[in-house]
Amino acid sequence: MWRDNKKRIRRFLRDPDGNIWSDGLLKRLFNDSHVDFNEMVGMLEKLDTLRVPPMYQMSYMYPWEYKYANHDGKNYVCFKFHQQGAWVCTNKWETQQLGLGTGSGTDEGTAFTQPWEGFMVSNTNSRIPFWFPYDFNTMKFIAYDKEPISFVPKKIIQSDDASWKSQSGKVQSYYREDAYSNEFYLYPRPSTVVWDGIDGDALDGQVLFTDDQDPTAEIGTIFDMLGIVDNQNEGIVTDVVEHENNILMIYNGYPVEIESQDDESSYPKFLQKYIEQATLELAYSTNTDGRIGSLKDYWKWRKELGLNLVKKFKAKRTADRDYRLVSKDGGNNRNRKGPRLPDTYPATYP
Amino acid sequence: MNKIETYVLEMIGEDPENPDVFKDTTDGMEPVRDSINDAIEEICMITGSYSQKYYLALRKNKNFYRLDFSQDTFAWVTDVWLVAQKRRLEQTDLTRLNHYNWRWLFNNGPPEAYFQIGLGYLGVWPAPSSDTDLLEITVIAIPQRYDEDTGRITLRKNWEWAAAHYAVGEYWASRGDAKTAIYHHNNYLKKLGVDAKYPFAAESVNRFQSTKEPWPKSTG
Repeated sequence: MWRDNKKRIRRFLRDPDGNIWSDGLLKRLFNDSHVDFNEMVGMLEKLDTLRVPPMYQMSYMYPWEYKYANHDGKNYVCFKFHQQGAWVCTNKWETQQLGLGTGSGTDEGTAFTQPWEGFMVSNTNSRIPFWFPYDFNTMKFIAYDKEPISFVPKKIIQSDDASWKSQSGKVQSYYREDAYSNEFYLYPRPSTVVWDGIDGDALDGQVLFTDDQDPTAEIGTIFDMLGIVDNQNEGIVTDVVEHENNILMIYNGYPVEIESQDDESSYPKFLQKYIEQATLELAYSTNTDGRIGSLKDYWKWRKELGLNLVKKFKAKRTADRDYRLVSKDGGNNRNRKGPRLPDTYPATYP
Repeated sequence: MNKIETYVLEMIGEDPENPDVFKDTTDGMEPVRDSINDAIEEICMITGSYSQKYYLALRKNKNFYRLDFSQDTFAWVTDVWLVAQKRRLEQTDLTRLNHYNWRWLFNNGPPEAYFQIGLGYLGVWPAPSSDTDLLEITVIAIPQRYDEDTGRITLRKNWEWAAAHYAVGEYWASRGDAKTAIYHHNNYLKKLGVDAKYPFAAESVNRFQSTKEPWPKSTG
């Protein structure tokens, strides 16, 4: 817990009562070091499943509403925000009405407030977003309906498919709108989704929730399977409902931001001391009455030493791998004997 | 007060029988024990000197399992044994699986390979076709921190003195003497030594030799 980290840091700062370094400063230094440590060693590999259709915690329309939302979950900005007049429109033609005083009155599909609603109609006027877990940093593996899908830049999709916004079918890839948001989109949009395991009056447009979950911030990043308890004896995390029609992802995570005394670092205890050492280096370098160059250098040395040790530790994780030597050209990787074409077969086709 | 703690107090000029600062209580010894625990964790992390067994019941059609240790902390896997079939699983990774078979999540049958995900998950390939088998996983673990003088020190003897120097170095750092702290931490590193500090079989002489794997690879 941050309480314990802080106590240890203060011991080495010789400032147990916070006369020089305030609690707030130490917390920010720790959070800074936490992110740095994660960037350098990147050991927060995580596994998660995302429900399709996606479950968002809440929707809002106006930017000012964001600050009143609970940001632990997924917040969806619904409808179309009209920047010029700070209006929210449900259809695009309404912005024409605002600008010209007249509008066409037609739009390209149905508007929805919650992303799951988008799967209840065949034609929507917004793309249906999904949301990476809140601690998502970078992707390592993603599969939809057990089949791996790949990242394709939006520009490529737009170039290749004039109907990219409304295209539905078998999911082949995903794209992201920008690097800031955790939202991403499946392409094409899944043509069918499975509603099993979701209660609530789905057809009446009521709030959805899973059979075994309350509708809280957890919705949408659920580890549990129906009927299976997620504990140390079972520990099964693959599915939300069934294997089919959901997103499985393995990703590099982002460390939690420490806010209160009881918050725990995302890293296990045995790695937290290296984050503390980086915090001590920063603390001794801040322009306070406690600034001491020799101690800053000492903790910097300890931090760098620690990082080297952690890298060595990471390498140990492949201790059980079976390696073999091959030539620089790759050599023959076939280890199962079977029919093969003769070496004289034309190297290029046709 | 255990042997390492006594040695630490002696090196920092305390009388272990009648200490001024570090009283022989849980609270009094906390700073010293913190440092010794840190040293133990670091030594185990680098040397992999402490292992544990973890038994995991496989579930039908499930590729991924959470590893949750109630006592120690999981570090890495050294071997996985499929109990009913009495055979080893090979270690693989996502890159290799994807290269081998893009649709590897569709495969099921007796598991042939495993892979680690982060610091708490294990994946198996293919997904078990029934609920009947069990994995015996040998892992390198980071031992639980001790907080009483009767607590178990999970270090070999030649590393115990290294841990003492680690703690003495941190004592001087907490007193603002970086130079002495560096001296003792260097002592710790020297005593920790290279990996061959405690070879399993000191009588054997290692040499390079090109050998091919005697077993076929499941995932290429």
